[in-house]
Amino acid sequence: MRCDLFAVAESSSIDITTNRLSIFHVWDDLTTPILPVVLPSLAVVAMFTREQNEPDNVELQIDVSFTGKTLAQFPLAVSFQSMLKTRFVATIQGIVFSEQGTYELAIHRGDESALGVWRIQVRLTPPEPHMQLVETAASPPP
Amino acid sequence: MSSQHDYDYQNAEAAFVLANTPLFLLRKLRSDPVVRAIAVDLSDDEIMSSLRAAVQQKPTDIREAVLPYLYLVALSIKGKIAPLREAAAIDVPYAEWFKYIGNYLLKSFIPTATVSVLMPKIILPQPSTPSSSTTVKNLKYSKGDSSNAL
Repeated sequence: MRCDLFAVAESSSIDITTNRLSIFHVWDDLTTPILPVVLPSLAVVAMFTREQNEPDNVELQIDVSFTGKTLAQFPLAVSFQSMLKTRFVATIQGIVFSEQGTYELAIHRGDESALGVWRIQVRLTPPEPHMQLVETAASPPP
Repeated sequence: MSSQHDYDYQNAEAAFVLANTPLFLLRKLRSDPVVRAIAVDLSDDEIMSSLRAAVQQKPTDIREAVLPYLYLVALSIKGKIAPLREAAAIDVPYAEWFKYIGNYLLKSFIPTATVSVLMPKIILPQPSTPSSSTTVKNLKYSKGDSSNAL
C-alpha cells in the first residue's frame, strides 16, 4: 500500500459534482504570540493506493509527537471498498500546541515505518503590545 | 422519510431534455440540489427500490425517463460502492445511457472515509529539563471559551 498524499490543514471538502477533494489552509507553520495554543479543528487528509493482492480493509494509526515523544494516537479503519484507491479525512478537535518546535503527525500501519509524515513548525513571537489609554483633561466649557 | 413526490424534478427534466451526451446529463444531475436531497433523505434500500420501480415500465413522460438516472446518481453521491454496483447491474431496457453512466460512476468511484476525533485528554510535554517526564492533563474547555484558540 502506498500513501499518495498525507497533509494537515484547517479544513477540507469533497465536491459532490466532481467527487474531488480540496484542502484549505494547509498547516505547515504556526506562529503565535501565546502558548499553549488550541486549534479547534485540524483536518488530516490522506490518499492511498493499494495493489490488487493487498487487503481491502486496513487498520492504521495516526501518531502525534513532539521531539520524539508521542503525545496522542488515533486508530483509523480504512476501507478500499474493493477499489484500488481510497481517501480519508480525519478531523481532530481540540489539539493543543504547548511548546515551540516541530510537531509531527505520522500515519502508520501496525509497527511498520510511517506511510506518511507531516510536520508543523510552531514558533513563538513576542507578546502583542497592549493599547495604552491616555487620559486627557477635559477642556473647560466655553 | 420523504417520498419521491415531495421533490421538484424540473431541473432534472430540463437536463434530460438538453443532454446530448451521457456525461453532460451526469454532470447536470450531480449538481442538482434535488438529487443531493434524495441522496441525503433516502437510504440505499429506498433509492434502490425506487430505481427498480422506475425502470419496470416504458416511460410515458420526461420525468419517468429521467428518474432512473436520477436515482443512479443519487446512489453514487451516497459514497458506497456495493449499492452502486448493484444498481449499475440492473437491466434497464428503456434508458439507453443508464449502463454507460453506471460504468462511468463505478470506474471513477473513490471511497472517502471521514471521521471526527475529539482529543479526550491532552498530553503536554513539560519544559525541557534533564529529568523531565511527560504529564497528562485533562483539559476542560467551557462552552464558548475561545481563549488561546486560533
